[in-house]
Amino acid sequence: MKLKFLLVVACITLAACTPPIGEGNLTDLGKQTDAVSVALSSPLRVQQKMISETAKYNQLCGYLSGKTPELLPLKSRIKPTQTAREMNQVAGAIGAYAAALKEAAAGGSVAILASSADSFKAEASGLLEEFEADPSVSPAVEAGINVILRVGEANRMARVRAIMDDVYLTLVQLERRLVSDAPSVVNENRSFVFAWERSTKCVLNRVRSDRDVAIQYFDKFQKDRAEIERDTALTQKAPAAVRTLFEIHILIITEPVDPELTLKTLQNMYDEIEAVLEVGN
Amino acid sequence: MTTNEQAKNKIMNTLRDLVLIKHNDRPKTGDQIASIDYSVDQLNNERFRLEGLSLTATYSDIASNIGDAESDLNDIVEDREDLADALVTASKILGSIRAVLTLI
Repeated sequence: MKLKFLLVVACITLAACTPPIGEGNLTDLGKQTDAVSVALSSPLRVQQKMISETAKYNQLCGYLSGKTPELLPLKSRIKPTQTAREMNQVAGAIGAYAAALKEAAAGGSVAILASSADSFKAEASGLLEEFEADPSVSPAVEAGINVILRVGEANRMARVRAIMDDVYLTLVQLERRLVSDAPSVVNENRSFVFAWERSTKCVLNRVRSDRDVAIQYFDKFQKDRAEIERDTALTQKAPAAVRTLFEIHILIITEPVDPELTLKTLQNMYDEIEAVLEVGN
Repeated sequence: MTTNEQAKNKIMNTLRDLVLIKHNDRPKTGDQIASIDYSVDQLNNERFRLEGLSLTATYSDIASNIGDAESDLNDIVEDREDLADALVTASKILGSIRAVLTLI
């Protein structure tokens, strides 16, 4: 009987030993997913800005040169490249995944469940008091609920890690894809930037006679140029950013069980199961 | 005889060690980091080979896989919320029984 009991405790404890994801790892993961999302959306951001501004400055330049004023068409004929759009789609998916992961690992639902369990335990204890049950029954009921919740939560954490393992493999594929695509995406962006620069130079030439206006345009174009450089650098760093993200996944998936926490869990589970069994006897 | 699962765990634990070495506080040269990254890549190749997966994927496949993971994570949150709802309902039932008992 004693051996059976110990086996039950050992099995349940093993089931309950999947540790929650460490807060530090979750914070790192959140920051890195943001960095990856920004890097992956940078080509589309640059291209959309370049397309709309090039069209605007070309029209402005034509107008300043004495052509009939024409407003911009509502939809540009020039579209961002397929790769830029697809990379942006992946950025969106990663952002949504990070939010879901945060919620599943340590979100508000954990606190809500704990609070619901507390209410249930309080009601159950109150009811047992009404029935004038043996004083040992109430703690046993609470212990039983604790065991169920502990095992349930450990199971959910194991599921979270299994999902992260799948995503880790996908991130490896993404990194390989980006290593080969990033240089060509940067080149694609350069052709958009080239057209934009030509349109801005045209505007600067036309407004040269008005010194204040020319300086304003010049400053704005310089600022935009710096922003484009920043986004280009982000695109080049995208493979490295994804690599860091899959490295964080590796650390979380393989997070070792804290021996101190396991011992504590074992002690708590032993006490809880013993309390339940004592009432059963 | 090592099973696929054991081999996978071995690969993952070695990857963990490499990542920890790469990011520890000790200063490292570019060559050392490149060497660690190379080893990580080799282990990743081995993991993919073991799972019979291809290392190449389209952006669309990648976005779809990550979308599936998001949906699975949302299911976990839903499970937890369902359990919380069930406990709230059970608490209410117990509360009602208590109320009736006090009247008897």
